[in-house]
Amino acid sequence: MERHALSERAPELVEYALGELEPAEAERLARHLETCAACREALRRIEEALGWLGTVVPQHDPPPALRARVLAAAGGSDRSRWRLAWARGLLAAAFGLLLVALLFAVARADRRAEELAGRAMTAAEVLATADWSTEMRGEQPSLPSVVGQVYLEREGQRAVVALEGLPAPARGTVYQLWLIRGDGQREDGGVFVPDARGRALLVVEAAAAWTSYRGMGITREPAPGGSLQSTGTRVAGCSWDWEAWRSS
Amino acid sequence: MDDDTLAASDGELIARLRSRDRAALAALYDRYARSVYSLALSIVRDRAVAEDITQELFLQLWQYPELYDAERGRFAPWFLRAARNRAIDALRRRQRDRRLGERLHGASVDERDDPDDAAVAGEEAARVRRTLADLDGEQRQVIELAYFGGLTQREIAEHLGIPLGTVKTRVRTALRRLADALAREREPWSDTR
Ligand SMILES: [Zn+2]
Repeated sequence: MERHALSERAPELVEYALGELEPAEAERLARHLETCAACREALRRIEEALGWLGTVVPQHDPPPALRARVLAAAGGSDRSRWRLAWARGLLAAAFGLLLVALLFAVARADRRAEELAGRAMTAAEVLATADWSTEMRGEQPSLPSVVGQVYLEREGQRAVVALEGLPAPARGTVYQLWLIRGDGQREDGGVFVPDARGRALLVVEAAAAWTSYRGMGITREPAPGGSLQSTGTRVAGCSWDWEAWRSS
Repeated sequence: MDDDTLAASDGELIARLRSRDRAALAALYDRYARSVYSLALSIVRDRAVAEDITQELFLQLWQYPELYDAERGRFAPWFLRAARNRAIDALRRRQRDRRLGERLHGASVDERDDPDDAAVAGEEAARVRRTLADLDGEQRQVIELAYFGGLTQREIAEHLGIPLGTVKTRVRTALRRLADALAREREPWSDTR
């Protein structure tokens, strides 16, 4: 681990927290934060100060009707809930940095700053247009019962898979995501290694619309490239049934 | 609303959002809508826009509760930061074509130290308020321009006609003092040791 005086990084941390760093600089700092607990703690404190600073303004009550509107919108059916137009671009605007930080967790051999920034945008787009979501369930006794959430647009071909609580794969292995077609055939969804805290955020591109798939699975496979066909132990997965869903 | 919901911690309520518990959303709304709306309003200065931002934030929280990561700190400052970022974004969009000067209204910081009127009841809000009042005018000016006006440090330097390095030092000093005031133990992230 790199050791350094905190003062060296303080200006950069402040700019990161204010959202002033260029994507490539932000990515570089995110990479450093992964390994430097002192900077992580410093950033946490800067961000917390910026958050509490928001409390010093004069206080006004929002109109009472707003509460009803928010709760009504949240109470919409699962079908409409994910299609609210306001979601478009929202994540990109408000949580861009967070997404970059999360995406940083996706360890791939071909990881580059531009690709990462591009993937953050893609993830935000997918989340904004997602109209369906399901839990990714752990299938090993050592795993939590829920290891993440899948967001997808049923008529589209992209999905975001947000994972947490995954242990580091054994040396020489990676995790591999599989997309399960309606006929049971498995398609490669990519390989990944979670970050130090067991998290990964994946943007998945399917070969066809999600309506022709019935689930996903995660296995452990040999590093670095994974397998052409799933060979390892299945550790997590999810499945869905569009027919039942449509008739509900 | 039942007593369990009223007494639940923010973290417990977030966990309940994941299982699609609308009562948890209502409880979080009752705790934070006023703070979020007031912060947005003080930045965008338009009630309709501030309402939209408030609605968007709570619905986003409802849809993506996993975006809040407890390991990155407490919920209230995280949520307020999200509100600030959304409001600044709206401000920049709306004022893209206008002159920079119009963004320079600065903060509408409430000078009164009236705990009944505090945004989020609690020690932190009071400490921030006191520290802000204690900052010297120059430090306070830059942090307000950056935080409430959404100006970059470069824009502040240009506007004030002072070197960028000076702006950065003032912003950093102001933030350090706020962070130190919030810290329970004084474990400075400062460069003084
Ligand atoms: Zn560091």
